[in-house]
Amino acid sequence: MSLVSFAYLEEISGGDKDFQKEIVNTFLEEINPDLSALQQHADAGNWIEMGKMAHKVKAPIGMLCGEEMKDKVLFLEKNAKAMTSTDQLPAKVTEFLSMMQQVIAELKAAFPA
Amino acid sequence: MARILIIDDERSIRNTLKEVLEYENFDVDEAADGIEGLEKFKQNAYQLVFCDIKMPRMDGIEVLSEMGKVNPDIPVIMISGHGNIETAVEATKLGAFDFLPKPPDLNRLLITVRNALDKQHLVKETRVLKQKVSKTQEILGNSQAISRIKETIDRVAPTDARILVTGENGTGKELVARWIHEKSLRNKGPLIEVNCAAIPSELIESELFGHEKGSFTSAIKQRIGKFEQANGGTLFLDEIGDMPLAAQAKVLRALQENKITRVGDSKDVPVDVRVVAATNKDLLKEIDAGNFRLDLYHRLSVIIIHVPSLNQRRDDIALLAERFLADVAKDYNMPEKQFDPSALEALSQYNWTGNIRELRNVVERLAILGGNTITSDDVAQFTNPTLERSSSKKLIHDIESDSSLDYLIEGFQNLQEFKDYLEKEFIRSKLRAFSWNIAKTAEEIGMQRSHLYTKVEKYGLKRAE
Repeated sequence: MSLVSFAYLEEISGGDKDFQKEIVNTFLEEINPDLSALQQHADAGNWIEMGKMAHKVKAPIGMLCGEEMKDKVLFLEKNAKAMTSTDQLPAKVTEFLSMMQQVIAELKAAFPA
Repeated sequence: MARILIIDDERSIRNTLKEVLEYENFDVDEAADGIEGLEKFKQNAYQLVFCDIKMPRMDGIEVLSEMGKVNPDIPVIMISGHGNIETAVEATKLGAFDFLPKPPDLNRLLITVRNALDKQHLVKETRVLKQKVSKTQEILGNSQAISRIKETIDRVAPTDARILVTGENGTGKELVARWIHEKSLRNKGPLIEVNCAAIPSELIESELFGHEKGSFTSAIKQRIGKFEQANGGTLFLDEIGDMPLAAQAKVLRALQENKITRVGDSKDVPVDVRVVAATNKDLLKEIDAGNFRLDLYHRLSVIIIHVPSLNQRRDDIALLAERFLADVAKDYNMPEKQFDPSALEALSQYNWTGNIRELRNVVERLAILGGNTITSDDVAQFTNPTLERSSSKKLIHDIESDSSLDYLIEGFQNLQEFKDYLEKEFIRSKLRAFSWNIAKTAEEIGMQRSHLYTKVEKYGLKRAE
């Protein structure tokens, strides 16, 4: 099942494929360092910082992903910032990062370089 | 084309907004964090700013606050992935125009941009219009006397000292009072003017202090007086020398205690008002004659600014006349006219008993009736009272022989209605000519001030007409 959604991109770009490609490329260029930072903070149990990174990636994910990914990142952000459900967070982070690899692959396939 | 600044640490968001806004023909600039954004805001003129809330180095709320200090008129739309009500409320409390969640919905984004730019345009337009309609004209003149007055205003305006402005009618006392207010720390507050000579003595207390409903026969509803209206600002008591003694006592109390009591009420109302008063009378003589309270005089005259008559500052006449001529041309949408040097010389030599007001009226007359270049002959004709009177006679003769009078008469069935119509138009015209100075108009048309006031009431004449 696809994790990406181009509905927002279609709407905001008015169907302009060049614009869509530029947004996707920007996302692909920036997302990996952010995901790495998120993982590092999670590994260190530094939940506040991990929450900040989740917040940072939330907006671009909101632009390119479906509801499932939005829910995942929102869960990470809210619980990390509130220091709640911290016992579940490591597993949730792993799951989220794995799903993000699928998102990246899907985007690369949709907009080949 | 409006210029928009986007401040967001997310490049994808910046790019998205930039693409969308550029597609709508906006000129878009971007900054990757709050500090860079603030620098760009200081260096460039933007009409709108998008600002993320969570950013490294300086968060969006702080950027918003700093931008407000630099230019509070530029609308700022906050954008954040948070999208919660609390953040939106906090941002708008701090002056943000609106709040958009990330990623922003296209339609909402464009509507918000349009609304923000409309607001920015309105703010700008309002300011321009305010400047246009502002009565606070420049104090014109380079003479030593006027330079001294400007210096005094600069020095005393920022204090809360009470000021008494003295000078003949038409010298510009009201303008001095306006500039004292404009340059004071109270300039964000109101400037309320009261012409003490224009208010019948039985109404002045109610006018100044307000009244409660039912406190006298015609008090059909509560009224807030001028002192309360001026709270936090300046109260300009023009022609204070004409204020009845009973009212003087109450004004004295208001000045001493900083509180007033509305007519028909027993409660004190605290007021924070700076009083600037003006008079064309010699108040010390009025005190000797028992018409003015010495204690009130001392309260009002902490600083005295005397505005010289126009005859005492003849060096300024040419400058004033040229400015008035340009103003009249603009007001009446007429082609610009000019003075022949001989005309300026003639104006400089004239005996200006009515001071600047008279000069303004004469220039207006010259602008309307004179040629494209106004000559000394024009000045002689339109400033000389004898010639003016013969002109009036000629005008009456013209009217008598003119069918327009017949036409006017035909519009009335009843003699009284016709007389009232003529009286109303005559008074309206004279009041305009004397800038609604009731005392001066009454004197000029040979009518008692109170009688003129009654006529103004009867015909419902208003200054704005």
